[in-house]
Parts: sequence; structure tokens; C-alpha cells
Amino acid sequence: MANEAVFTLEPGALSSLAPMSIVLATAFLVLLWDVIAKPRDRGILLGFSIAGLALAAIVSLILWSHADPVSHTIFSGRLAIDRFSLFFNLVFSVVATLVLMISRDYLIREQIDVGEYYALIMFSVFGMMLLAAAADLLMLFIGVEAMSIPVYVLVAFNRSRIRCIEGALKYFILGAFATAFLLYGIALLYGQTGTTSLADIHTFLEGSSGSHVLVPVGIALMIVGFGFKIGSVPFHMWTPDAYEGAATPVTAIMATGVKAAAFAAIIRAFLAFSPSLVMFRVVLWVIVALTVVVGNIAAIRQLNLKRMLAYSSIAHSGYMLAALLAIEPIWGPQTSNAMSSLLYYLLAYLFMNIGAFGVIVVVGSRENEAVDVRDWAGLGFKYPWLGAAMALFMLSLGGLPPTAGFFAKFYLFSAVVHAGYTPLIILAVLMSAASFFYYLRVVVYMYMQPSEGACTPTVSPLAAVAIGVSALATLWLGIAPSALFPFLEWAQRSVAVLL
Amino acid sequence: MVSTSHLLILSAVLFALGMAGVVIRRNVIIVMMCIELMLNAVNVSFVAFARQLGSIDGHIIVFFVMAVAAAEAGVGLALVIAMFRHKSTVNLDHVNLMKG
Amino acid sequence: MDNPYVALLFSFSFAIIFSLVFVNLSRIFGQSRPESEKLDTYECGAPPIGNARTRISVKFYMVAILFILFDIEAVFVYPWAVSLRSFVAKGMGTFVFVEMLIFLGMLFLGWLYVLKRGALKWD
Repeated sequence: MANEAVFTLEPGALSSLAPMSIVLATAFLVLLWDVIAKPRDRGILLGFSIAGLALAAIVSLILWSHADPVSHTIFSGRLAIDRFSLFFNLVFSVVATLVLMISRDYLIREQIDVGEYYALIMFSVFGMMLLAAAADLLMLFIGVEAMSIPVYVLVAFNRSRIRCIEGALKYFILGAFATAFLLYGIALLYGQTGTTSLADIHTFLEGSSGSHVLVPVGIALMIVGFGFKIGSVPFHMWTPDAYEGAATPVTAIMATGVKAAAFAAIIRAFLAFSPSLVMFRVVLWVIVALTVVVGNIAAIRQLNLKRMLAYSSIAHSGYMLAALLAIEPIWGPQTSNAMSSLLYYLLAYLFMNIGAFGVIVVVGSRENEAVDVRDWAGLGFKYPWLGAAMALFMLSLGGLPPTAGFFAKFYLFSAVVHAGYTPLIILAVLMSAASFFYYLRVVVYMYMQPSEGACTPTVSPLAAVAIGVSALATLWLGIAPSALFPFLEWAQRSVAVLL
Repeated sequence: MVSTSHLLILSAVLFALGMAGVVIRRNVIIVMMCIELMLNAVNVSFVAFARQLGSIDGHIIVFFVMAVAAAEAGVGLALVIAMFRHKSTVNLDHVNLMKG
Repeated sequence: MDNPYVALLFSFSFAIIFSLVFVNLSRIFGQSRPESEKLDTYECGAPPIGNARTRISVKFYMVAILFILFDIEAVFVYPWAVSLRSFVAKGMGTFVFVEMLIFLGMLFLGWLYVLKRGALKWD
């Protein structure tokens, strides 16, 4: 028992866990309330969940404003409750709230409105928060799993539809497969550096001459594991099937919350590995180029909206991964710029995706899920608000000014260009120009086709609010991006002092 | 005397076997067993490293990996049952509704 | 006698001898009146001889899945039990004890859910 005495409990450690604890407690409350009180109307469970998320968001905000500008790790460096993780806590709370709001109608429509749905979303949010706070490879592993396992179940949630089961099975097998790679990478890094703490690994890599064989292998295996989770080429094959098979609100949380949490972990891990990242530049370059090209090209021939958005999310993963190329061996303004633009991109991406999936949910009905773009013909005239919102999300995903998508791409691409990757960014810009082909196709069908669409949207107030908030956020992040930028830079600074 | 490198080679071989199984085998249950094999191969690595380093972290991680593997197995088995109810088969080649 | 494995040897030998002695004692002195009811498979067992490829009720899977989940959690209790004393010595006993209570409490909540959801009902 060599290091028996290392555990200490920092003052304030337990109270800084409050957001996670609230989410977890809400999850248990919702789960048990459903089976013990057996409410006829599950609306109360939705209320509990949203209240829990709101409380977690408020507590995160309070902690965020009181947080040390210096990183604050608790439990002997296992978890980092700094502004970075608190920022993500806030993001996950908002994402989950919006997703729950668009879920309600879908669940009732498909007759799967049971308490477990809300509990699983909350459990998954807990995993995301844990993942964003992980300052240790063990915590990172547990966070990934605590987030993914509820999502495996959620994908299969509509179990009377065989596509759900099929998508879930593919997602589960490839997800578990990827976890094994991630874990093997962690094992090798642990073996070579003798620690699982990201900060200690960073110190080790800084001081090492680079002759440690296991470090690059470990990092490579972790890149494979993460690559699966965010759906980057060549590890993307599960994405379209899982996205298409899953219930649309679940697809929304997979495309947004899960991806954001994975990126939070990737940022932390890659900053820790930054002294050894130089040798992975070429690999990353190739992954980014492949992801951007394959995602966009494959999306062009998709008439199924969910598959189209799946490939689009692959392409967006590619853009975001490009920011990692700008990480320098030593923290500097270039890294800081790239990371804050990545966070900004994530934020913009979350809102426009949730909005788009929200519109798909309300346009669909039990008989016709309305995922075929041809069913959307003439929708823009029959339902002007819905049409306008969907057009906004599509244009923003494509990156048209003055939407969030444009500024997100602008900041991110210029940060990467400053790091000296101009050819890659030219490719990315060309590809995002090509992406207008499939994003605009939705708009063209909605506004320029005769109104023969078979779909009959039913918009409940709850879903309308969620879509409206997403649309406003998409516009606001586009028109007044600087209003939010210092916030992100602070989140960024907390990562800086971690190292 | 079994050295750390022996154990690491054992772990790598087991991991590769599991990986090959996931890629080659078509029976879902066997694929899940192969994933378990991969996770446990990593456990061998963790224990070997922990012994070499004289640190306890590796041993503790193994416990967590076991618990996570059990949770994954639970979800996986439930999915297999759900699939069997629809298709009366556990062959992955029949999981083919979605393409493109 | 300072080899620690001697104790293990004793333990194994005792186990073997003890079980052999008692099984044979009962065979020698006990009354044996076998009837079909008594020789039948006991409680939840399956008939040992027959086609291995028969369908098994899906309820077995449910119990098996739940068993895996709850069974494995015991691995966390053992290291905790071993290291509790050293924490008590450092004055962190209460904290560490409460942590385990929270862990077990979560398991209990999970069990409560399983019970109330009716997953353990056999009919």
C-alpha cells in the first residue's frame, strides 16, 4: 500500500459537487416517483426533471461566479470543478431542458411516455457533467460510461419499432468496442507515466525526452476511442444508423449533449497531452480532412432528414476537431484562441441542432415520422413560423451570416489558419460551401415546391418554446457574438491554469 | 518469474483476439463476449502495471472496469432480448434495415 | 511453520475432510426413502438431462441481468472494508463510512425500483 495516505478532502469539495448531486438526485426521484406514486400524467416527472436541471444550472452559475480563476480540483485531483466544467454543466442543463421539452409530444404520440425516459436523460446528463469535470483518466472513463450507458438504452427506447433496436444494437456494440480502445489507451498511459492524473501526465510529458514507446500508442488508442464517440471518419459508421433508428428527441441529445461532453473531455485530455501532440499532427490532419469530406459528401445524397443531420453532425465534428490542431506544446494565445472558438462553435452547434430536431419532432406524426424531405413540400407556406425556424437552423448549420453558424465557423477557422493550417481550412470552407446543397434542399422543398406534403404538424406550447429559444439563441449568437465571448474566454482560462 | 512484459504481451494478445472476434463473429452474444474479453485484457495490463509501479491505482481501476463491464453486459443482453423478440435471431447479418 | 501457505493447506484439508465425513455420516446413519417427488429438480433448477437447445423463458434473462448488476457492486465494498481502519486512524472514519452508506443507498434505490417495477415477479 504505497500511496495509502494521499487522499484528502479539500474544503468545499462536497458543495462544489452540488450540480452533479442535484441531477443525480433528481434522476432517482423521477425513477422512484414513477413506480411508487404511479402518476397518470407523466407531466409531473417532466416538471421535476426540468426543475432539477434549472436548480443545477443556477448552482453552477453561482459556483461559476465564485470560482477561483485558478483551477480547483477536488478528491486529490480526480475532479476539476473549475469554470470550464461549470460552463459545461450549464450547457448540459440547457441542452437537456430543451430536449425534454421537445420529447413530451413525441413520447405521448408514440405511447412510450414512461418515467424511465426522464430518469435516463438525467442519468446521462450526470455522466456528461462527470465527463466535463474529469481531471483524471479513471474519472474520464467512468464519465464516458455513465453518459453512454443510459444513451444506449434511450436509443432503444421505442422498442416496438425495430429500427430503434437495430440502431441501438449497432450503437451499443461499436460504443463498447470504442470504450475498450479508450481503456487500453488509458492503461498504456498509466503504465508509462505511473499516474492517471491529467495534470501529472502533462508534467511527465513535459519533462520526458520522448523516448517512451507506450505514450504515443496510448494516445493513439485514446484518439480511436474518442473518434468513435464523436463520430469522426473512419470511426463514424454507427452514426447514421443510430441517429436514424433512435427516437428523434434522443437523436437530438446524442447529436448535442453527448458530443459536447465528449469534446469537453477531448479538450482536457489533449491539453494534457500537448507536449506529445506534435507527432499526431499528421494523423489529426488526415482525420479532420476525411471527416469533413466524407460527412459532407455523404450528406448530399440523403433524402432522409435524420440521416442527413447525422452526416452533417459528422462534418461538424470534423470542423471542431480542426481546432485541436492549433494546440501548442506550451499553452499560449494560439491554443487559447482555438479552444475558446471551439467552445463557441459547440454552443452554436447545440442550439441549431436541437432546434432542427425539434422541428422534425413536431412536423412528424405517429403514422408518418416526416423524416423524408419530400414530405416537407410546401410546409413553409402552410406553417410560416415552423418553416422560418427550420430555414434559420438549416442556414445556420450551413454557416450563412448573420447566424450563429457563420460566426462559429469564422472564429474557429481563423484560429486554425493562424496556427498555419491554411490548406486544410480551404478544404473545410469548400466543403461547407458544398454543404449548402443539402441544407438548402430542405428550404427549397419547404418554400418552392407545390404544397403536396403529407405531414400534419402539431405544435404544443412546450415544443414551441423550445424551438423558439433555440431559434433566438441561434440568431443572438450570430448577431451579438461578442456579448458572450468574454464568458467563454473565462471558461477557457480555467483550463489554462489547470496545466 | 513472470515479468511485466510477459503480462503485457498476454494482454495485447487477448485484446487482439477480442478485437478479431468482434470484427469476424456474427452472433451478437459472442460479439459481446469478445468485447468483455477486450476489457478484461486491459485489466491484465492495469494489474501488471500496478504491480510494476507499486501503485494501487491500477488495482482500483480494475474494479471500476469490472463494474462498468457488468453494466454494459446488462444493457447489451436486454438489447439482444429485444432484438430476438422482433426477429427471432441473434445474427448480426440480419440487422440490416438501414443502409446508406 | 512460518510459511503462510500452511494455513491455507489446513483450511483446504479441513474443508475436504469435514464435508466428506458429514456426507458419509448421513449416508450411513440416515434413512433413505427415495420417491419421484424427492428426486425431482429442486426449486429453480432445470432438468439436467435432455436437449440443451430448448427455449428458456425470458424471465431467466431478466433475473440474470439484475443479478450481474447487483452482484458486481460487492467488489467496491471489499477494498472499502480493508482500508476503513486506516481512514478511522486519520480521523476520516465518519466521512468514509457515510460515503459507503450513500453508495449502498443508491443500490438500495435501484433495488427498490426493480421491486416496484415488478421485474422480480415471476408470474
